Amino acid sequence: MGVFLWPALVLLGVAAVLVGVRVVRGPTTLDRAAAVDVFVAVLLCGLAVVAADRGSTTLVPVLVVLALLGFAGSVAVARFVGRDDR
Amino acid sequence: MSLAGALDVVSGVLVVTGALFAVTAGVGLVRFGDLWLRMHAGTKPQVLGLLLVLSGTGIQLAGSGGAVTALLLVAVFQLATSPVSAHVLSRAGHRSGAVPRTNLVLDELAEASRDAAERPGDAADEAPGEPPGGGGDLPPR
Repeated sequence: MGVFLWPALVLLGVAAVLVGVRVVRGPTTLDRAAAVDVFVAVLLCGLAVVAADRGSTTLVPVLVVLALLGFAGSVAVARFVGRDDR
Repeated sequence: MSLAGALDVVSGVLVVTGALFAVTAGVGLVRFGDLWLRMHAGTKPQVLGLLLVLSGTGIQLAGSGGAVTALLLVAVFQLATSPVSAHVLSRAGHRSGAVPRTNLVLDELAEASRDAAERPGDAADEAPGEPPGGGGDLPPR
């Protein structure tokens, strides 16, 4: 795994920055919610890569919790976006 | 090469490929023009990338059955929740008018809600075929 750790983490960092650009730019709340959804998934990937590199299972429960939290967040935002709420 | 070394390389390649898919999702999110296009970029390559990374991790952690089960659980969650959240977000975008509809070739959701609104004595806030309270819709204002 050692050789692949840094390429994977750098790629995931690039992805996180690109997603962050969309979070900052918006322009609507829904765009930001979709981008945060992707950000959580990138975070999941990063934690999984670290867990694979260490060969330890400590981070695996964190993955499960994050997978559910990202979903709840974006659905909650979408539920409360009104007609003129940009 | 020993079996362990080969598995190491396989899992590394899976992880890096998954990270590449995450980058394509990010590029799509930045470059695409409106919410629906961005959601398309944000859900499909993202889920595939996460599945690849999780399988790479699963190969590394194959010694622990509980960890592999939990990773499978994460994969199933992601496969189940990503379409749902994309659907809810796109409906909210349609309803709030945040997305320009001029580019649409066909807009069946608008037709359905217009039909439902015109039908007298019916619950006008639900599209036909939709169970009450479904779709994460707010009542009409």
